[in-house]
Amino acid sequence: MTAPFGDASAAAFWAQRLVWADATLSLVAIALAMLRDLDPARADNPAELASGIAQLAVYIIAALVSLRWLYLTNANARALGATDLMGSPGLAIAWFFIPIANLFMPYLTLRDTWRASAEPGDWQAARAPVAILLWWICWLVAGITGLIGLRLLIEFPKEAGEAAELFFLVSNAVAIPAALLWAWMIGCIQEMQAAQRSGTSHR
Amino acid sequence: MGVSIVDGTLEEVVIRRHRKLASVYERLMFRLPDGSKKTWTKAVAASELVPLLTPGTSGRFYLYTAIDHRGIHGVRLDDGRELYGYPKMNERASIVIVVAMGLLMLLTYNVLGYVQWLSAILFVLGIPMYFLYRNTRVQAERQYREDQGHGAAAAGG
Repeated sequence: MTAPFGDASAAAFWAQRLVWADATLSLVAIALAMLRDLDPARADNPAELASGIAQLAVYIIAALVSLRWLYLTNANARALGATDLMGSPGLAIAWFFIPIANLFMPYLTLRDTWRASAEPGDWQAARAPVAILLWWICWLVAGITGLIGLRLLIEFPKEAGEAAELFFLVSNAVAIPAALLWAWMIGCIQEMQAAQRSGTSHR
Repeated sequence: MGVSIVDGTLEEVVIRRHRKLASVYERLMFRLPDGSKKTWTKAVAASELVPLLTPGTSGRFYLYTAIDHRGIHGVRLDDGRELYGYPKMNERASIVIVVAMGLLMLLTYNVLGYVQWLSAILFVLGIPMYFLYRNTRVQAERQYREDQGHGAAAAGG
């Protein structure tokens, strides 16, 4: 049974702003790392500590709000008339937490949500932009390089400190386009669903 | 994870590849009675259904979706022909993965003294995958069986 169309605009509003804040904090982290020439010995300072804590906190809140938005928006695509979409709105969120499946299923879910928002009646015929794939690649690269940096820092803090810094730099650099693309997709999907609902679809 | 029905005329059929057990379609486009269209992309159909999936074919088409796999498992055409066929490759593949990874885990544990994380993850993921594919097949069979009256009604009417 399909749930009625729910208002996702508040979740979209906050998700976009939090994601922009996350991108800004990634930029700050890059600037701070460059200022000390990626020297891990000089990383232990109050500014970097504050920036790191803020980045982690904003990332977690942005992720939670974004998942809430994705849930609502996936449910709304169904409410607009898109049938045979994969799984359920709950599963659209769950894919992010299932090992191996989380390497590709969130991308497929977002791609289908985009298509279903653009043309709910015949969503499989609708095209999704390449930007979604680009977002997913950036998101994966940012996550994987960040994890490698963290593992290096934990397991070989003295020997691999500089390598870990480099991985963190790449992670932060790639996280910026990932965040900006995500915010853009939120705006586009919101706009498409609003147009579909008011019967003024233009895509 | 779901089954549905389309009543209409198959207008466009774009095949991607034929195999012995099943064919994969790049696109199947149905024209619905209200004039709108419904497209079914990257759809799989068991080989016995393939001869009936041609442009101009009109009737009832039974569709399924399992994770990111979708396909057609039955047709009841307006001319009275009807056929059921469900491609079981994914269901079989997932049970093979579960058995193979289970054996690999046992082997590596006995020989090396530890379990490889990749085989453990694939083993754990394979179990719900198998049940998802199996449940979809059972749903599809039930849907087709319970809609038995439609073919006779369409051909008679």
